[in-house]
Amino acid sequence: MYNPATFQMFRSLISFFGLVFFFLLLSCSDQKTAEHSKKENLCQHSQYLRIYNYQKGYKVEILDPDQQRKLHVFQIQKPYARIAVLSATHVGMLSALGQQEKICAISNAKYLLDPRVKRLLQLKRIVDLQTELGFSAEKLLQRKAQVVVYSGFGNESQQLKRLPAHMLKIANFEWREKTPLARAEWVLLFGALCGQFAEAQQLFEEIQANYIRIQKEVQQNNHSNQLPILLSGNLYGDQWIAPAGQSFEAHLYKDAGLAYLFSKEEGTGSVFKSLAEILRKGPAVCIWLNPGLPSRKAILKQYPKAQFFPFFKKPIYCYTSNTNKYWEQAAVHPDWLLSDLSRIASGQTKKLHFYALLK
Amino acid sequence: MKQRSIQLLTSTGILLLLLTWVHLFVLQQEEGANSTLIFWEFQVPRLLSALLAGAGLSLSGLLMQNLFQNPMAGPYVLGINSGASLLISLLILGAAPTFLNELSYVSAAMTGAFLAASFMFVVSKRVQNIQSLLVIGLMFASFTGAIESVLQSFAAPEQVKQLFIWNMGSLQQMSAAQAPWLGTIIVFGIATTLFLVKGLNAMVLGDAHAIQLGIKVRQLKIVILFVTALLAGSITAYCGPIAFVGLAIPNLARALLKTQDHLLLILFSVFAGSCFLVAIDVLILLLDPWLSIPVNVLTAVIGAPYVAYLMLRQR
Amino acid sequence: MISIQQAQVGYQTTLIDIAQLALPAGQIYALIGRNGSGKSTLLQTLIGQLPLRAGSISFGAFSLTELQRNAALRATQVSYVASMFTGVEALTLRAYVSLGRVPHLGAFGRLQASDLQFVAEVLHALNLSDLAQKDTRKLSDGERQLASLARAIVQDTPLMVLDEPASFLDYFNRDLLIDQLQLWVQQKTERTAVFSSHDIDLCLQKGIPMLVLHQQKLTLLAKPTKQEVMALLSQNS
Repeated sequence: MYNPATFQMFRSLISFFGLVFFFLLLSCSDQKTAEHSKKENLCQHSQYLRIYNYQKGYKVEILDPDQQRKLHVFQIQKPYARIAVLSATHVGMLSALGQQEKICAISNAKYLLDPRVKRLLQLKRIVDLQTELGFSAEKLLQRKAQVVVYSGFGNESQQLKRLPAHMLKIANFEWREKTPLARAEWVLLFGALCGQFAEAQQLFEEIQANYIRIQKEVQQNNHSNQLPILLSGNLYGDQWIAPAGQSFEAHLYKDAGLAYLFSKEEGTGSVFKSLAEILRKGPAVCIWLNPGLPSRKAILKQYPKAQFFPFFKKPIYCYTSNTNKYWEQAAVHPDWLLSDLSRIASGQTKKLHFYALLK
Repeated sequence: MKQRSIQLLTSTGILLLLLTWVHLFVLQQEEGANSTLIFWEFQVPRLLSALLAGAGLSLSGLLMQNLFQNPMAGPYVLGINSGASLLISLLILGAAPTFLNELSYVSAAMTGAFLAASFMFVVSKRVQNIQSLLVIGLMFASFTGAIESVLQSFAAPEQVKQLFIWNMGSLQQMSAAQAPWLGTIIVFGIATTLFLVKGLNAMVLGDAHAIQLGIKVRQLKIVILFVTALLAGSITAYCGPIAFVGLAIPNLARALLKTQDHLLLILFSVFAGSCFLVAIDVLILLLDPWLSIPVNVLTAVIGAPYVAYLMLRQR
Repeated sequence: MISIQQAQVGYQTTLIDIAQLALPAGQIYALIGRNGSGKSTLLQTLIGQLPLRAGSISFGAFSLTELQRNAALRATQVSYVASMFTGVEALTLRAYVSLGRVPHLGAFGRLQASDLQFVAEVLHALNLSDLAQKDTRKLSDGERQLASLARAIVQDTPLMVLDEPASFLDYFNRDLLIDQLQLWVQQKTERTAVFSSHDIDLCLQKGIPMLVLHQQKLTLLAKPTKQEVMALLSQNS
């Protein structure tokens, strides 16, 4: 019954099962190491970022906030020298670590603050990819970027999908975090990428200590139960858009000793309110924060009827004393943000990092 | 027949009064210190926006359908809004802030609307069917949209945001001080249109027929273009582009009244257009505790299927 | 009374050359000619849509050029029945016929009781009363042709011009059309109707004077015979 064809088939079958078995083993061992290192997650606050010591480097897991599954799992064994960052926040985190030289591409040079990054841009050592949504995969390849960090908005864009497999793509969900400290903790990711993990840890410890100190001061100074009522956001068409009650902004307001108008609203993103509701709740408001415009005049230009808002006569603050600074540094420096907001809560208009009282 | 028309007109009028009352006194009751202020500065202008925009848009739709001799014409589909939008963008993005007073806004929108309407009218002489004309309208809209995008890349973020907000369309942007301006323009538009009734009736069977009946067709068409631009342009300036009202309501008027007597069609379009937008805003107010919907979303949800139905019925 | 002097009719080139011709009022005239002989062009000239290349035409008190200059005046002097009209949504037959009153109405286009009665009488005379509420899109071609005639009658002008008004009519309605036209020209003084037709036999039978287009000329046959007409028509190369 010997048949060469049957024999051939048997051989390929055996090798196939052998291969499957090998992969099963491999994945099991992988899972074991993962479980083993889970105990040593180096991130304490973040919900979507996990960093573990792994061999000589790090293992990073990034979770998708919408689906609660692991989006990226990767190892960093050697520091990267060419990183492309598609958001001002990422530029700010690398700048905070003094690692501007590692940046090879940014998304929009118009909104830059850091003088060193600006200088590197002039020297053409950093290239401007123009916009975050329409960035060019081709330019990234030309720049020989090893890593691309982008803001995670649901699905990967078409341009990102075109990038080759050897290029490390990292979705940054810093903006989805529920607490300001969790947001700042993403600086550890950049530390790991640049080989500056210890420095990043040290920076974060300082920020955290600062934040907690200010928070305690606020608690100690607040003897009354009457916290100033805060309204945040602005009218966008027919809708008032403001941070939801479980967002990091709402968290900040609470820590700064402010009674946020929408603190009981569910969600970590934004709430959409009708003008009628804002008008109804308006008379109680003591402070209007973040209208997104640099002056009262600009607010009126955009919406002339704002003059009739009950809170238009109250103090209005926005991060517009230096907007680029806010976008670049607010995420990595929640301590500065908290300091600003606690001063605003107690009516001090001087020594603010980001904010300004609108005239 | 006559009686039926009068019944329909009266019932639409009564419905309008009812909706107005619900809008102003049932759904938007305010208490407290600044309730008077809120009433006069927010609630009344909001209602007036709905009333005036509804009346004006459906009337301009009726006029355009007569001008193009096609029931599928309207200020939105033929790119009249886009023309207004383009000039408004030029104004917001290009002009000095001090220049941004009431009249420059409105006149820019009206100029844009008039240019767009004239362009589409000239084009309509060269294309054979409405499908081609609608496609050209879409092309025109995307062309102006492209120019706006190019302009925006040079503009400051606040300007871009302002333009974006304006482009969404809203009944809540107009202030109490602006209401008399818009009111005057719309009333003037309606009054002018009433004097065109004879010509509009004769135009129903085409230019040659109207000429034979002694109508000065060229003059009439220029007046129609002017009034359309006046109505659609001023509304677009104050409320942004609002879709489907201009197309759907005059068709509804013909379907219900079964007449081509433009006196009845004008009156019904004005009443029913107001009714429609006020009803939409009442719905927005009703749904408010659960979700907040932009006005254009609702007009599209109700208007688009009706327009699609009309298109299918045309074949 | 229509009088034509040295008239040259046509668009870019002269199609018809009329040295002199007088058409007494109180009559209907059948315009006869072969295909492409210029019947429609002549009718378009008569209603003032096409300017004369040379010469003049006068209708009683007014000249053609005067009427061309004043559309409102023209609409009270000349009515026109096109060979065809397509229906329009929501336009009833009665509303369509009533449009004939437009030249006599004020700015708001309101019909007075007398207008309504006039329209009703004409509809009755043309056996259209039962169709008065019908949508014009749903009428038959013949019904539309009768409606067009009714519209021209209510326009109440001294001259009525009709472009093949009987092409879609059945035998009985053709008869009705001719009878109504003959009645119409006699109801008031100074009324004239000109209609184009290919139905020579009917016109002969009814004893209608003929305007025959042949070899770029227009010949009036006050009492035509078949031989005469055929002789003129067959002169064409």
